[in-house]
Amino acid sequence: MDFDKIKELMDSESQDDLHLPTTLDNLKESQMPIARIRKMMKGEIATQLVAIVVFFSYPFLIEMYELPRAVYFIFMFITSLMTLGYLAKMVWFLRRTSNVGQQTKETILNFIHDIKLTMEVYKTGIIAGSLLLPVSVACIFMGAVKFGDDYFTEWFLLQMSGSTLILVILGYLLCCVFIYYLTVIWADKLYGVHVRKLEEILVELEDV
Amino acid sequence: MELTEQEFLSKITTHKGILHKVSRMYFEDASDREDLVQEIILQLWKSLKSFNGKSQFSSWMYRVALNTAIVFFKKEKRKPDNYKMPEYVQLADEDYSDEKEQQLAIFYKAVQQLNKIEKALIFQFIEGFSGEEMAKNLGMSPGNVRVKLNRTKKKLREIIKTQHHGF
Repeated sequence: MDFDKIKELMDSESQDDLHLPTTLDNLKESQMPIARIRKMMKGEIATQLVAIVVFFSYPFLIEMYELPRAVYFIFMFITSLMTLGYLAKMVWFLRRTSNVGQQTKETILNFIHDIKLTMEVYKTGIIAGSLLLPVSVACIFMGAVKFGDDYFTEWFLLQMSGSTLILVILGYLLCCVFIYYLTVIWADKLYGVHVRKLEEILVELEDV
Repeated sequence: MELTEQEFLSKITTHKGILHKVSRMYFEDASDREDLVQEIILQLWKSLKSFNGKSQFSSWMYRVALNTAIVFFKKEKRKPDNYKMPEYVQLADEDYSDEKEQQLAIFYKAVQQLNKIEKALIFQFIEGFSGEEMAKNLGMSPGNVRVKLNRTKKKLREIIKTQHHGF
């Protein structure tokens, strides 16, 4: 195969099918993995901030018994603090990657390092949050007046038989595991797939 | 480097051959090529500040274009069916006005079977880049470039030979 001949053919090939934009406003949004991760993270920050406001407003919209209401606020307060913690890390990540220009090997390496750090904080927050969230959910469903008597206080003060207590603990742990895995799968779908694509490129660039 | 939007677009137009060739190397489908070209222009504009003018604009453009093509992933498209015709049958069915055009088509078809880094290496080799330049552009060691490039050339020859198109 004659590569010089190939070059000659490539140079002489018609470029009529290449349409360049007349203005940069006509360009589509970037589809690069880095841009996609940043875009989704921005969306997630906004969604979680809205979720915090909604969760805090909810007890004002429904009638709740006193103890579940108080417990709900305390647990939601702690959960929100943890959420704000990893959201702050995400904002740090977005600021750090706001000027990513050329997608060189070094840029990708730094980006993967930063996203992994951010994801570790995110996962830690999620693990802690998944331990608290079932209690808040129980407050809403067992402590609302419209759902009948205050079963939550009975449950919260452990006024139940030993076998029921074991079932409650098992149910609680199952809920925690479910919430944790659901969130991890969600995070992987949002960010993990793009990170893996970038890692594959790094593997191809590695020394033989 | 500070350039107005129009000055930038004018420079891009001057070197549009780079965009054309890089997109041809990476994608067969015209809409994928168009997406890649748009993405390269976007990345060039975003990273224009990092261009200090010490090297030629075209050298910098090659580097950004290749690195963008490597990281760019085409959109998933629904395929009409899973059956894929053998390459040589597809090529034989196409109508080429002359032999040169056919040779280039065979080359581009074979290149599609290389991975992204191999495409970047073979493209730079054809364009006459030195091993040092290739290494710098891709963030690889010169030794690694040499080994990978030799393997890629061999692989490309094999692909073309398997398709019964030695040239």
